[in-house]
Amino acid sequence: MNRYLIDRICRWLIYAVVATVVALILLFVGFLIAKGWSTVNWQFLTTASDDGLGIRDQLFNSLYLLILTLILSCPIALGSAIALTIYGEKSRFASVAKMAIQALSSLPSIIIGLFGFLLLVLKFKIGFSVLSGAIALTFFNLPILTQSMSLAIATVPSSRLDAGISLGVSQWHTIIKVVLPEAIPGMISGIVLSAGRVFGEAAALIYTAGQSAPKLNYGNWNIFDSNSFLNPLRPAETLAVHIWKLNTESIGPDAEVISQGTIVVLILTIVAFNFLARQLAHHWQHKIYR
Amino acid sequence: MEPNPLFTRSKEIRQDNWGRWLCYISVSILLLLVVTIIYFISSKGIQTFTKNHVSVWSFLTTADWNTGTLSGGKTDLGALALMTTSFVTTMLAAALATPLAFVIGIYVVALQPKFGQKFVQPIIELLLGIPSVVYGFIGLTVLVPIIRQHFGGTGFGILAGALILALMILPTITSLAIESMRSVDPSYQKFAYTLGCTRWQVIYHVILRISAKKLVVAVIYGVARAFGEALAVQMVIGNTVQMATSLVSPTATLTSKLTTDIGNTIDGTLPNNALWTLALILLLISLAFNLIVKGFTKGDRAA
Amino acid sequence: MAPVATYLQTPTEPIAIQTEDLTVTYDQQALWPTNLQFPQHAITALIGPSGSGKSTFLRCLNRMNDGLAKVEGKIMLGEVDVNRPEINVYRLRQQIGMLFQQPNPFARSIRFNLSFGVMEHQHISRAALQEKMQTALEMVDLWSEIEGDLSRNALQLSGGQQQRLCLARTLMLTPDVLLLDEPASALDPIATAKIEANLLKLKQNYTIIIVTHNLEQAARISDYTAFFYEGKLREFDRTKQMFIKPHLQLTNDYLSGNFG
Repeated sequence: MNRYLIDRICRWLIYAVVATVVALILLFVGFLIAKGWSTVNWQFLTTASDDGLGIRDQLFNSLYLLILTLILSCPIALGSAIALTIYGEKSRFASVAKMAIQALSSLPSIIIGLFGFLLLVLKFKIGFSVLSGAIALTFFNLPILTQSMSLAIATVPSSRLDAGISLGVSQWHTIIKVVLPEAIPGMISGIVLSAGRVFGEAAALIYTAGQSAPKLNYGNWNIFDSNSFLNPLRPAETLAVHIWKLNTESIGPDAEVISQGTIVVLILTIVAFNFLARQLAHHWQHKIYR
Repeated sequence: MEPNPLFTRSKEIRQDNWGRWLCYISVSILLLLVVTIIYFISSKGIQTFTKNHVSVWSFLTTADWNTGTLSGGKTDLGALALMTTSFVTTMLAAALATPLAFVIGIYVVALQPKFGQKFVQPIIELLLGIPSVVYGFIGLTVLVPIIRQHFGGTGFGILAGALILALMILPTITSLAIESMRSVDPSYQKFAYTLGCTRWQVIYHVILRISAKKLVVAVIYGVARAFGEALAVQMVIGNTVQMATSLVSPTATLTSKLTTDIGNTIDGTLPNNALWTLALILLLISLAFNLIVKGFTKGDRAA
Repeated sequence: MAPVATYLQTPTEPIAIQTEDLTVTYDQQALWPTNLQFPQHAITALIGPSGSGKSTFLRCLNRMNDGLAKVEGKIMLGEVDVNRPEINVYRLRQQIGMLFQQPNPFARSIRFNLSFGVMEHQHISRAALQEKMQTALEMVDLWSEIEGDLSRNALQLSGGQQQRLCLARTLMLTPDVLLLDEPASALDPIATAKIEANLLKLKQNYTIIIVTHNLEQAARISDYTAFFYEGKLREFDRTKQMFIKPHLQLTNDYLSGNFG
């Protein structure tokens, strides 16, 4: 057979496969959105699941956990990223740490969840709670966030650091006033992308944040009250856990409808996060290179 | 006389000490975390053998898992069926996803880079953002009924699990494959074209040949992700611990067993300890994948 | 080891900075004991082939090799040995400014570039800062080129302008000594000429030490020249003297382009 013929056949085969896969994926995502689209409305978002067709508390729990997780993980990830990319770039300590971070990022999220269960729920007796969940999600988020922040910092030329140091400025102030501001676009998109991952995570949460969503009182600002929406020690089922729970244990009449609606909310939120990541990065880029 | 400022301390010294301290504390937290995870899960996991005196050999080589009251007090602890299902499902998923991922990679890198990068790649990567429970839900409500209809059985089983996992790891392998094919020096391709090679010859003899090692790493990453996935698999695998007799008979994986049972057993009892042993096995296998990747990439750097 | 031929002239001017048996060791020794005296308010050029140790030597003078290499020996800045561990290197680097091979302005406004170092070290009024910035920019002939617009991003400037901005940034701290590590090697001839004009003007008030690969440049602007070869200082003399009649055959070969 002629090699030009082979070339043409292979190329058309590739085109056909790619077209099929892309079509299937679009169909898949379109199907997900179409199925749940009619379920999602203001009422669905604001009704407690005990009161009918709604996911109010799960939605809030997801956001609350996300915010706490980011508050816990960002400083640690940032500090580690600086240590790995700038302070100990070539030290033995840094190479050990890099290996550890790689190992951590390769652990399945169920392992992180079980470890969180063991450490936080059983050992520290925090119980199935927002706090346990947020800490477990922090464990889950740290390696990825550290890696993306390291990458963002590494894009800043090291000559900036030399320049600052040669002016007699401390390395630390050069880092926080020159290097980090320049790395912000990359860091922000890293944070927001990781937020998407955290928002959809369930395996790390079922044995830490728990699988129940007590009805919350959004007017109760006393964080020690068990029905206060801010109470960090109450169990907090998230959207993703809700979908899992509905489909594994109590297959009620509305389970499928609620799941479909919840999926739309989940996917749209994550897509919005990704969009936001790109926009923010763009915005900052403009601000700095004005 | 005023002391020479070169001999006095200044705030910069304090700033640098403080910054270094902060950063090293952060890294230490990460290191501590890794060590603690391994220590905790190991110390729990080996109790089956040290405290309950189950033989390691029988744990790894028998396939029956009976605990609690259903079996009438009889306790069998064999993880072989779980491990086998985990491996078979994962390998099947990788076998399904890898060719597709490579084909898409070739398309995006070598055939239609502009359109590929603008449209095809983002569409594939859309799958990365979808949470695993969503895959599980689709598997449960769409895939399992279809399998039941066309292949018989309950629809739950390795086939459903592998198909869902294949979909989940497709974007992982594709992204990495694209990255590794892109890293092939374009001058090699230009050179091959000047020799009169067809496009397919360049793809096959230059791009794939040169990026082969990195492509293997891409597949291993996909396999590792599939192996550790818990919820999506648990929703479609059937959750019955037995050696699967066919691709459509209900069975269970390491992760699915952990997901369903860890909350239903009492801390410190043998059934609970045995589950932690499964977690330990899962942990060790994940770390092993990590080491394999490390081995591959190390050779790369030396070359 | 056989002693190598060296020729070191002693300058007649007052000395701003001098080294005594300065050595540098990375994994291997990069600089053998070096004794050099830099005359005050003059330009000294360090020349030699790549890897001859001249840049390594330069970076020791403001302690930029700290943590990267083992630097032994004395660096006398006036009466003080600044190579001792108890020296406050941050203050030292304010007294000994540095300019690098590639222009490296911060990716911010010109104002930020100029004010960053000053604001870190001193309390200074807005008006005084503004005046200082203008003076510094005028010294490098940049003030008129940017039309006094300090809010422009430094990365929008041309390469030569960026390098002069970096020079102005260093001058903001009013150092005594300026170290320049091949400052014009990334620039075109016109931009290079501008930098050289700046340096000739600046030497009235500053002691300037410049590493350069460009022998014509050394001949044009420097008063003294030091020739390094394979990690050793081989010849140090008045530039005029060295370029007309070097004492060593090796120097002669290098200057006439027989190797390099």
